[in-house]
Amino acid sequence: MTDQEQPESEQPNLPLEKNSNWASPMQAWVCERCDWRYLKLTQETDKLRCPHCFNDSLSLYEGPWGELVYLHPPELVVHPSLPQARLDETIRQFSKGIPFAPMDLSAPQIRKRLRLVFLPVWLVDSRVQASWKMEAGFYYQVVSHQDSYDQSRSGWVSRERQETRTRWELRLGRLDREYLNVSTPALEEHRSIQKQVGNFDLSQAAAYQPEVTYQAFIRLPDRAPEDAWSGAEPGFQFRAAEECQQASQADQIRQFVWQPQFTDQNWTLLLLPVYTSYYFDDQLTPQPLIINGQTGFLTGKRRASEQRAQKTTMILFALAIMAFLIGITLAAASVAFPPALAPSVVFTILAFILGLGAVVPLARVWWFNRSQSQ
Amino acid sequence: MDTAFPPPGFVPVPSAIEGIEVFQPAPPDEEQLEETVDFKCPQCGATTAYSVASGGLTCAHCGYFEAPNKPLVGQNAQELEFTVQSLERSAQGWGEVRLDLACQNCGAQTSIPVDNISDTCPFCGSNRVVHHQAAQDILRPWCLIPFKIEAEQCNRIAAAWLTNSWMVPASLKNRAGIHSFYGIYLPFWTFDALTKADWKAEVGHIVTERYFENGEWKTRVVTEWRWESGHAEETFDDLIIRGTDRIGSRLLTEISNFNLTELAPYEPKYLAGLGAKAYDIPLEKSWEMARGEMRERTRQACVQQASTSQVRNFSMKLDFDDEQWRYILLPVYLTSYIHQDQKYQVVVNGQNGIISGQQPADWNKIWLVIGLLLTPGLLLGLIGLITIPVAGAGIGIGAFGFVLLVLGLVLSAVIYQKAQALDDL
Ligand SMILES: [Zn+2]
Ligand SMILES: [Zn+2]
Repeated sequence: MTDQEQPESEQPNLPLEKNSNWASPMQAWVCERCDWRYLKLTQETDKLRCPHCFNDSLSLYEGPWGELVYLHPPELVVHPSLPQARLDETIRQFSKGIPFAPMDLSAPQIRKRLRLVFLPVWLVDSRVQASWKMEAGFYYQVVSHQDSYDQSRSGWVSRERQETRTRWELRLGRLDREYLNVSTPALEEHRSIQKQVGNFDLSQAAAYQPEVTYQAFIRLPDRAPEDAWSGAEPGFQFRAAEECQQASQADQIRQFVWQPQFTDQNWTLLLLPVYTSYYFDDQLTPQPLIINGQTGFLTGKRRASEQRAQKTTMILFALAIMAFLIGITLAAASVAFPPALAPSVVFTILAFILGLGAVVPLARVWWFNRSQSQ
Repeated sequence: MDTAFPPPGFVPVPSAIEGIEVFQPAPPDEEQLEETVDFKCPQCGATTAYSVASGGLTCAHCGYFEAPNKPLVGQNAQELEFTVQSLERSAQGWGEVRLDLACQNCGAQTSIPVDNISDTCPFCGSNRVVHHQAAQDILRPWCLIPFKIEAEQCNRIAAAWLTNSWMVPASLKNRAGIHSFYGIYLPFWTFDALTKADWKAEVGHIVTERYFENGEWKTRVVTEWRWESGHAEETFDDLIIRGTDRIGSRLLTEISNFNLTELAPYEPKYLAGLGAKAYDIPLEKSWEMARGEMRERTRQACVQQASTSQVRNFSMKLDFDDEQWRYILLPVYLTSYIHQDQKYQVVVNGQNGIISGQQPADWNKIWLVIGLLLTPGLLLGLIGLITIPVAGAGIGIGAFGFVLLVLGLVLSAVIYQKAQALDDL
């Protein structure tokens, strides 16, 4: 694994040139809050909002390019093929049905703040020499019968049916093959991100074209190929097992074991599209959400605003106190003026109802936030 | 990469992908059956043959002996599944009708029927076993039961059998016996299966009913029909079905209680000097016969589950499971004799000596016996008729005569049936 000698690593603190692997002049950005590092085609030098944590903490990277590790070239990219209408609908569904939603949580706001981010996955090419062993299953057909008898009708009726069975045989051998683009996570938090955005259909991956990334952030890998390798090995084994099955012309295989040796490795990147956006909650903390750019799978915290609920509760409570005071006043007045007793009772009851009702907004918000966090 | 590749016992197989080598375990060292095996004594060069008495290949000339190579396998002998391939292969038959053979010993050209597995050269008397290339794969016999009864014993068995029935003509009983029994391995199929059946039927129950009529209570007996259902499973292990049509099916069925625990792996030497026939009823046909027997037995098991013996609208569904088959050779002695220009076949089980065969019935004798049986009834009936005017005694005599007549008719019918079966040719 001698891939540190990328041409970029020798460059000083200059944007990547057009002739680099990315084929467009990129700048590197680093988030001081969440430490996500990005490449972006931009001429800005102001602070940008980080498309991950959405703090104003993204600054242009001024250090040497060589320290921005893992600047491996892109090879494949999955296009953000989610239609705009479905993206809009997903966001609308997200922002709908929240009681006392924060003022900032609205579909138009979220749409306005959408960012396209490409997440990296390692692609490894390697030559593999191995000895292998497996059980190969071959299908064959057997004939069986099902008979039925009916005294009142024609007697016996026989029906033939064919069943497929598998004959297992031992096979072993050697292989010397080259396997291309076996994928393995390039991010430490790959698994948790995958949980948030779901799976991608990798068969849609196409050759990298710089145009795709013009408006987008490209997340840089933070996982060393040495570490990522353990994740790639099962992928190679899977490919090899599949080919050994084909080579043996088996219909099925099981218990594939091998002793592989890997040489001539080459690491490149696959880019996966996600949309990110956010809204501010009561504390003006950005609440991020993330959407699969291919399937529209969305993950984000939906939070009701306690502040808005409190405000409503206060108003109701104030009204209750007012009604109560009027009721008491009228009751006092009824000593001198008896007809005032009836409205006094009405106002007291009203005060009681309003006082009880004042609790409802707070309780609803509490229940909603609790159910969302579960 | 280890240098010793592949490990011992593996042979290469063609690979569909370049850069991948594939090896499989070498097929077990199966003795390649030569197309024809000749039996020549390694000591003196005379023709050797299988000897029932010593249970091996012997030379009558110098006494050389060679025991079978493999021990008995009994009912553990390998069984096969009903693959589409084996059914199709067996349905194809043997192709050509006769096979031309050149005797290795004397060079004479002979032609034998293609389903003969063994042969003796008519010119020099040398024995050989023929393996048809087509039959060497799935459809060659994998095991057989060796002969245990010697041909001479058959003569005695046959002599006793000939005299055990009064229906046989006296001239036949007085003949010197039946000779020239010919030992031959006949083809049989054995079948295993598990049958699982669900049945449903109306079952009749006799009940006594009270009812009111014309101002009084009466009782009557009626049958009440109630629906019942159940599940039955039957296991069939090595059901033997004949694989040849050349011998009458009644005869083969009567001697087919072979003891399969004495199955031995097939070796050509068992066949030396004896006859051997390949199957002419294909696997599928025999399996159909076996299935017919299995499902009939399963049906009976179902019917017996009903709570009474009165059953109507019976229906059932039956699944065959774990079906397996075997192709085996079983030892049989064949002979025939001529009586009054008619040929009669006799077979003897070569393992346990049970005999079955066709016997001529002496119809003169049989009709005489039937006449004798009917006479007393007829006579008494006649006497009764005549004496009716005399007194009531005539009625008693007539009735007794009638009873005797009925008895005589029943016995006659039984005798007639037995005689019919006897010379069913
Ligand atoms: Zn950040
Ligand atoms: Zn000899």
